[in-house]
This record gives sequence, C-alpha cells and structure tokens, in this order.
Amino acid sequence: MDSYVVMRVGSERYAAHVAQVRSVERVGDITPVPRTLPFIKGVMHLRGAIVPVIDLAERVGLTRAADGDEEDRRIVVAEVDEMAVGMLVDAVEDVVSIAPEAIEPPPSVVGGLEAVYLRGVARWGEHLLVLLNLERVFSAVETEQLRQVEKLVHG
Amino acid sequence: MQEAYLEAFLTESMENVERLEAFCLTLEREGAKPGLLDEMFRAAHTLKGMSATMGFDKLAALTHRAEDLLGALRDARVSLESRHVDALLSAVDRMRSRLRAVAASSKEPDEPDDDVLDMLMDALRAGEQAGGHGEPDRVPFVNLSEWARQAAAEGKELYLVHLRLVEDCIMPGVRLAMAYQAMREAATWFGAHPDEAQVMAGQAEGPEAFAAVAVAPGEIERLRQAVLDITDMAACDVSKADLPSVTSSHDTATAKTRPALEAPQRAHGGSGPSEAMVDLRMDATLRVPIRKVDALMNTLSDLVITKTRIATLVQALGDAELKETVERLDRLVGEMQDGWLQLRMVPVETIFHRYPRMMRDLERRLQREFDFVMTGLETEMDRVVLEEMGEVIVHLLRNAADHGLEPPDERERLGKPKRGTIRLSAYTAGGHVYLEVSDDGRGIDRHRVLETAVAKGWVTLEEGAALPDESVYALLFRPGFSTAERVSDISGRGVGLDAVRDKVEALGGQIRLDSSPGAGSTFTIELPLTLAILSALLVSVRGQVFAIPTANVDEVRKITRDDVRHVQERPVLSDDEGIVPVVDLASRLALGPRSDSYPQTAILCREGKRRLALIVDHVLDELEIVNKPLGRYLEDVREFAGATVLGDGRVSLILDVRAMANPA
Repeated sequence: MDSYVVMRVGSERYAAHVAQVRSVERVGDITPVPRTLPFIKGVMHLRGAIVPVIDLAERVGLTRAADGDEEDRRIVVAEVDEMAVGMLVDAVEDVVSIAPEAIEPPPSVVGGLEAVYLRGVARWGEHLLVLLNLERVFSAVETEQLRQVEKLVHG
Repeated sequence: MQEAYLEAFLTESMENVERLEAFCLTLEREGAKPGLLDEMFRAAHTLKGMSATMGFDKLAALTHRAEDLLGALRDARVSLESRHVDALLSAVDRMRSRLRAVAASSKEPDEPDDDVLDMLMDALRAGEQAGGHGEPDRVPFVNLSEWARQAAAEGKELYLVHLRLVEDCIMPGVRLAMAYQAMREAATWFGAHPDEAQVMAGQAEGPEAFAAVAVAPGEIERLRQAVLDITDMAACDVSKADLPSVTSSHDTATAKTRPALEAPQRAHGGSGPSEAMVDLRMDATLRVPIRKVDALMNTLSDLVITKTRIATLVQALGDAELKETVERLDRLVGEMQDGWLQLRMVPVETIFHRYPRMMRDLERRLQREFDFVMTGLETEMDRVVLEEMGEVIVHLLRNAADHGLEPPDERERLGKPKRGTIRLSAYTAGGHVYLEVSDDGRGIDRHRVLETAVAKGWVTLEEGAALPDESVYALLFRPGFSTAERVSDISGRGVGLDAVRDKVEALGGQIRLDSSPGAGSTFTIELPLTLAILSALLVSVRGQVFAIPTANVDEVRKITRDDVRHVQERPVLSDDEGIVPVVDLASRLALGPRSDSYPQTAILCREGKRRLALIVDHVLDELEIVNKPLGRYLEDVREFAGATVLGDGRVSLILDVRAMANPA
C-alpha cells in the first residue's frame, strides 16, 4: 500500500505520492516573477529557501472553477529530482492508502488533463482520484514555453 | 547495513584514487623513488581492502592487479618504464569510473575490466622479462582469494602450483594427468589450467600447467616432491596465495616469485604493520555534504528574519533590558553568518587537482613538451564560483597548450628552452580572487588578430593600426573570433574566448589578457570572493521591490524629458562617456506601460563594457543581501539572477542587469 496526499482543485481530486510531498503550507506572500508562464504564480520564502509556486489547475490545463473557501487553499510543496515546487490547490483533503493493484492506467484524457501528467487513476469513495506524475508536471516547462510562443506567433 | 558505510567508502576511495593519480604523475616526472612507491602501494592496498570488504569484487580485483605492479616496482623486481605509468593511469581511470557507477547505483557494474587487467599484466610481465625473470603465462585463476578463504576455513593454506615438463616430453597429457592425480591425493583440489578433463582427453598443449591446491601448513614441500618424482617433470614451483587483506611475512624460499599472487606478502619487513595504521589515520578536516551546509544557511536566514521581527516588536515595547538582549542576539546572528560564509569557501585545490593529469595527456596528444606548474593551491574561494570556473580554466589551459606554446622543435629553433612552461596560479588581493593562466609561448600576434578582425569587417586597416595592444587583444573575446589555423579537438570545441568571458562576467568578474610577442601570454581572471552576500540597491517598480547589485550601479540620476534623446527610435541618455540606452523596467518586465511623466529616476548601470539606464519608480534602500538561487525549476528565467528575503519576510528578486540590456 502506498500513501497519497489528496488535493482538491475545483471539483477534481488529485493525488501526490507522500514520498514526493515535502510539506503542506498555508498560502502566504507570493512574489510574482515577471515574464514567466502564467501558471507560475511566483516564488515564496519557505524556511530560508526560495520555492517557486505553480497553480496546479492552470498547469494541468484546467480552468479553475471559482469556488471554495480562501481559508482552505494550500500550497503542497513537492520535491522531484532535487527540485522543490509548491503547488497551489483549493484544499488538501486527506492522506489515503492505495494498493498498487487498485491503480488503473490513465485514460487518454481525464477531466481535461493530458495523460502524460498522470500516473493512473484510482477510486476514492465516490470520487475518481487522479494520481499525478509529478516528474512530468514539473518538467517540460521549456516545451510548454515553446508551445506558448508558438501560440502567440500562429494564433 | 552496507548503505551506512557506502558514503564513507566512496569518499575515502575516491580520495585514494585521486592520490594514486597524483602519485602516478610524480612517478612519471621524478622516477621511481622508494618512498613514493610505498605510498602508492599503500593507497592501492587500502583501496583493495576496502572494496573487498564492501563486496565490490571487480574493483578489488582491479586494484589487486595494480597493487601487484606497484609491488613489483617497489621491490625493484621490474624497472620503471613509461608503459607502467600508462597502465596504472588506465587503472586509475577505471577505478574512478567504477566508483562513480557505485555512487550512482550503489551497485558495481558488471562490465569486465579485462582490457585494463591485461594492460597491467602485460606491463608487469614485460618489465619482468626485461629484468631477466622470464615469467611464464599469467595466473589463470580468478577466484584465488575466495579459494584462499575457503582453505583458511579448513585450516589449510592455498598454493598455486606451476608445473613444467621437460621440453621433449612425449606424452605431456599423461604426465600432467599423473601430476594432477598426485596432487589430488595429497591436497584439497581447487582447480587447474588446463583443466583435468582437457588433460585426460589428451587436449593439453604445451609443457606447462597451473593448479590451485590447499594443504595443511608445512605440507607443501612434500607435495612438491611427490610431483617432481613424476617422470619428465622439469620443475614444480609453488607459491602461497593468501587472503588479500592479511599481511604476514613467511618464508618463500622454495617458491618462485609470483607477483600476481604475492605482492602483499612480499612487502619487505617494516611496511607490514604500518599499512594498517595508515588506514586509521584521521584528518583534521570534516567532510560534510554541501546540502547540509545549504540547509543550515536556510535556517540561518530564517533566523535573521525572525530576529528582525523581534527587534521591531521590542522597539515598540521600549523595554531597555529586552532591547539589550536583542542587540546581543543581533551580534550573534551576524557572527554566525560570517562563520557560514567561511564554510562556503574551499581551497582551489579541490578543482585544480585534476589538471595535472589533463595536462599530461594534452602534452602527449599535442606533442608539446612543457612543465605544468600550479601555485596558490591553498587559496580559498566561494565553492560555487570555483565550480563554475572549472571549465573556464580547462579551456584556458588547453588554449595555452594548443595555441600558446610552440612545438618543441620550433622552440629550439627560436633559441628558447625546448620545454615550455604553463602556469596556473591563484591568489587573493583586495577582496577579490585572481586566477591566472600563463604560458611562455609565442604570445599574441597582433598582426594576425588584426588581419582576422579586418577580414570580418570589425575594423578597417587604418583603425586597426592605430589601436593600442589592449584593444587588439579585446578583439579575441568577440564572438566568432578564432585565429587557430586549424580546428583541433583540443581547443576548437566551438567555445571561444567569448564564452569564457561571458562565464566570468556572469559571476561578476573580469578577464584580462596580457601578452608579449615571443615571450608568452597571461590570462588574468578577477572574481568576487563570494556570491553569497552582495550589496544591492532596492528599487520599486509598480509596487514590486527588486534588488540591483551595486557592483553594477554607477549612479542614480533624476532625468527630465530633455535628457532623453532618441537614436533609431530608441530612447538614450548621453554623457561624456557616450550614449546610454534607456530601459523602462516596468515595460521590460511587463509590469505596466512605460511611464511618460518626468522627472524619472534612472539607475545608470554597467555590465562589462556595456552601460544602460534602468528607469524605476523609487529607490528604497541600499543594503547587504543574501543571494539565494531561484532553483532548478526557474533556471531558464533570464531576467533574474536570484532572490533574497527581506527583513519583513517578503521575497525580492535580484535583477540580472546583463539580461536587461537585451530585449525581452
């Protein structure tokens, strides 16, 4: 059984493996970094280090549903390949155990999310839990940047 | 359990490999000195013992073979040749790559080391033949140490038996089979080469054979006699194979020298016990992973911020005793910060130590002859800056060997010493660290540089002739310049001096070139002592606070609409030094439209030779800030060199003035 942190973004539930989650923080001051991609919200100060913060919904291509309590919003700081990144989410709901055999391969698109960002899906009560592939969510920023530029150029 | 020791094993072994490499170079330069070979033997021995303990058998086998060669050299059984050093250096390279693989995966890679093992063995054998020993084929058994262990467990000793039949033996197969039989009866059999089946089937060729057997202590001579009693048996040499980590001296009067097996036991008299002592030697330094130091710094800077908050609160309370306590806290935190800065400083030797080997290889590949001299190895500088400089120095050293120095025959023709000198020095002066690479080669040919510059249309012939040397040399640092007659794989890697200059300037340093024709060239790099703390101007632009390193700031000026002129529709200021492009930070950073109301606040900045005026809303403060990296996730961000945490806990981005000069 592996443990996962369940994060809510809009009406979707995402899960990150606990081994990759460093901490869950309340949302504090975030300093915007000009001329970066829209989903990069900026940088924050976390126990002496500078940590970039991304909006998870925007990163994975969801349009954020304007709901939820500001008080519930959290930054989930995850670390992949010695790279720490904070993910802004609407709420952190639970830590759950999921058996590897309960994880199904990702369908090509789940809730507007491209399969490359997924490790798989699993049931959690009445919800479908989307297990994030953080290596992918945090990488390919460059590719993403290129795609954005292309959009600008070609419309 | 092994993981707990792995890190210690890796650091210590890597150190021993580095030492071996340095010793190899000394050996090559200064010849076989007894003390030196002792040291080398010990380093190899320690390495072997540790890798065997950790279960890295291939590494242990490799070091064992290197140790054999070193033992033979030390005991003067073979005399030193260049091929010995080559073989040892190949072994060093392989050991290093093996250790790296272990560091990466905690496992030993499976690939065989036969090529290097053969090189070592060939080097040893060649030396011995030259020395008149005429050693036969190499020992064909790979698991001798394992067998030795098994034999020891039974209270026996493992021996390697070398059989030789008379030249004209009619039935060698039968004779060898008889010898094998005799040994089986008198001893515990481990194996033979050629093996028993081959011998019995009459497939044994040649008059020689090896066998590995174990006998009770003192029994070996009886076995030897039994074998020698067999018809046509010309010789039977025995040599004891001990456990690799055991060092004992014993009488081997009857055994012929067998370096492949015996080097540790042949350690003459005094060196036995001292080997064990060397392994326990403690260093007065403490090795700490960098991440731990960085983590400590993060906590420390958090402490600084908390302290600032307390100070603000205390100010409001007005309690004198409390205030005094906070002041004391302030001092202590300051001292801790200084102490931490010291931790970031490392001696340049940590990077420099790999250069002698590189220069030796270059010397051969380029067919140059030179001495490579390093000075100021103890000079300390910021670890990050030093690491960044590693490649730059490699480039300059290659450049010196490839383009700076003349070939030996040309040097002779010119009446210069045949051997050139390439010098790498480090020293500190006035808050800066200096790194110098110099050669006594041909120097910069002013005419050739100008020829290229004219050909590229950078200067006219007349302009060029009027340029002072300094300006001519500066042309070498322009992108796209290369005077090398051919693109070699040594220095022509597509990186030119412009890349070197970029790197140095990105670290807040400068590079200068001095040269005199026929006498050589010197590259001098000036770098800040540390990157961790810098003095900065805090400015605000549309409500966001940014830091600009004061190293880049010439002055702050109020400018009016009349001060701004336009050159090709771009706004510029002008002063007695020339024109300065104006960059409106708000629009450059996409924080809002450029301001059109005057007067404006302009920060006149300098980056290398380039100048620019940054328009900001307000200048807030000037203070010392701790430079923190933005991290890997944002490493592609060009506009900012890092970030710092201000006293109120907010993060402020540090502007990269260099990037501001380029359009977004």
